Amino acid sequence: MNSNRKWIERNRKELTEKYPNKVVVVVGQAVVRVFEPSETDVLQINRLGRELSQGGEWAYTTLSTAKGLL
Amino acid sequence: MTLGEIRIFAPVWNEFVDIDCVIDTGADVCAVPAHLAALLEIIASDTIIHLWQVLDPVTLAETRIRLEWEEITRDVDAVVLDIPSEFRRWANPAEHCTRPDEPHLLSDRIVVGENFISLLDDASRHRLLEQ
Repeated sequence: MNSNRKWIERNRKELTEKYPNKVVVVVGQAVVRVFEPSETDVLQINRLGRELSQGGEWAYTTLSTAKGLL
Repeated sequence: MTLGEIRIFAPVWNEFVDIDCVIDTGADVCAVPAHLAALLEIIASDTIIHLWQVLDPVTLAETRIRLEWEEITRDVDAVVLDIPSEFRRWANPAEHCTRPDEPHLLSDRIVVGENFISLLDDASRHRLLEQ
């Protein structure tokens, strides 16, 4: 699995507290961009992730605070 | 259910893109919100599937999507469902509504259902579910 994805899952709780309901892009196991979900879409995020990682590993997620959905 | 990430083929770019997902072993088939299908140019067929859920019937359009997890790529059936735009945003402070304040979970995710999960070997399935 992508090391950035692993890092997100290991730190999801802390990330959600710091960036509630934001979309974060992670490169090199660090948050490099933060967006409001309404500001972006999956294609823009993919384009940005590829640029920032220079074709390497990257990941993104939406840090939802919604409870009771899972 | 668990949250994760998978790769989906996006006809608009003619390549795979990373996308957030809900991995749901309780879902028979994958599901793609209509607004994401439109963005990625995933075309729904004219075929519809009629499902029943608590209280209401649900009639959804069918499509085929190509998913990639690790080195495994598979084409699977999916349904296209409409999440109304007012459910894809936060409730306004003065808004009187019966829905949750939070945006719908599928505002920016697809559902990876059992029809894809079951195609994976045990090790791959485990890694998908443990994201």
